[in-house]
Amino acid sequence: MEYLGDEQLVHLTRKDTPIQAKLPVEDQVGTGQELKLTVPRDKLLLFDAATEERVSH
Amino acid sequence: MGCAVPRTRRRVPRARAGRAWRHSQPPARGAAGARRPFADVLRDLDEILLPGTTHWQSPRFFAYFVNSAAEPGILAELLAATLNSVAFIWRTSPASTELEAHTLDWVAQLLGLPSGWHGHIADTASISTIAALAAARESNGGSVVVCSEEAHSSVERAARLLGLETRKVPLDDEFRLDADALDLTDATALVATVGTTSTTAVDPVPALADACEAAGIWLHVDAAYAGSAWVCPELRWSQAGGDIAMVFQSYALYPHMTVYENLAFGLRNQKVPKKDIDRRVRRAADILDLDPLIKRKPKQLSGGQRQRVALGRAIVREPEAFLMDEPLSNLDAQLRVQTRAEILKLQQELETTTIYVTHDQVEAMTMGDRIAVMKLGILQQVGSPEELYREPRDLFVAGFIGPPAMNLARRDHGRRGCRRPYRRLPSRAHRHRERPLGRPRLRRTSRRRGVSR
Repeated sequence: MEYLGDEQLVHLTRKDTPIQAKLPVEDQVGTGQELKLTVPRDKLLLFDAATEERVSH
Repeated sequence: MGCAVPRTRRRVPRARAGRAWRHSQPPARGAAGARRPFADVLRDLDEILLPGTTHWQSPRFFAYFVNSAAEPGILAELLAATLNSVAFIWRTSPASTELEAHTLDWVAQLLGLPSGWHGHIADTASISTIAALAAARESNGGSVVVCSEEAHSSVERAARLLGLETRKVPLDDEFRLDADALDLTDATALVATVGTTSTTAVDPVPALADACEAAGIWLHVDAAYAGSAWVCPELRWSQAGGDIAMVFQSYALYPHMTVYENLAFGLRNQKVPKKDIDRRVRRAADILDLDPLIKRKPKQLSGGQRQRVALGRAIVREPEAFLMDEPLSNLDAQLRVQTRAEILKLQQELETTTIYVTHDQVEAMTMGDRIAVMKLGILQQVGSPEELYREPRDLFVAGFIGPPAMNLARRDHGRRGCRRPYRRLPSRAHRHRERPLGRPRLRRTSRRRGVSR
């Protein structure tokens, strides 16, 4: 966790994939704690693994 | 005296090592302090020294060095010798240092160089090359100097002296360094030839500069010959650049001048009327809040204040564009935020196009109207900060723009493959009609509280 004043940057891992999330500081999270997060579908960007170019949904 | 008639003399001496003095009269080789008639001294000059000297001034010699034997040059040499002027640093001879700065500014004007060029006088181009290669070696630790076959022999000598390897690049049909054959592996510097001593080859400097920038190495341009040729406007095509005022990371202020003098210096050399200089300096000082510091010298200023003076020097020139090369990189975090806002405000006030080079993504995102993301010298995407953040063209841009950078996770389709094939993005011409994609927005389901990047 990185405390940034009005928010915090939280480093997570999901199946060895590192994830960073900005959370409000009011959310008390601790090291090793398990969090359940979802991503709104319209915020997902998809990329072609071969060409690395963005493709639409 | 013999030296008055170089036309009659052999241009390049034929003497072998030690031979000139072997045939001289005994007194010339006598003990130190031996008295001799002055006529004998002149005879030695005529019979020993002049035959053993190359006559650069001979009309039959291809004398590619600048002629210093004009009356003003001879008088200046006499004066310097009479005064025994030792002007290696500013402290020993402030007048000489300032004369050097003024003279170089005159030369820059004479050669039609863009404003903002500065430099110092070196005794030869070879010394400049050694100094540049030493600095390059020190800065990036590379071990190879790259140049063409047409580069002056001093390049190879300097490399050897500095323990560097020389790599020669083939030439094209016009004796230019072939940019397509360039190999900058392990290079510390590339030496481009722009009509150096004894050759008229002119390397493609803009292309080489791009390659050097991409490779992070130094580019040293040896323009020993073309430099003089730029007196003729029709030969100035090899000058790259234009009226772009530069703000450097190192503020390049004159330490012995006050803030006012630093701001006014370039304008004075351009013979801008005093009233106009004062108006432009006062205006820049007012914009940058330098009024209280106007009589101070650079060493009495903080880093941020020096940066503002450097900016002021660019402003007073009233250029068509500003090129700012990481101007805030030397400032502490707090000052950086403050100066960032000042530059932004300044740019809006002056309404002058500004190209701002930075590695700091916060600077790019907060200051840029349009951001160009480059990778190894190749443009990846150009767009507004919002566009780059929400609609990165590829993985590089997505991972680059932040902070924090986008979360990237690989998804394999398994045996069934992708159930619904992705639709390719439309071509650039139609991209603006595409629905914005945006960034992933993580949401904590337990508390239903939104999490934004």
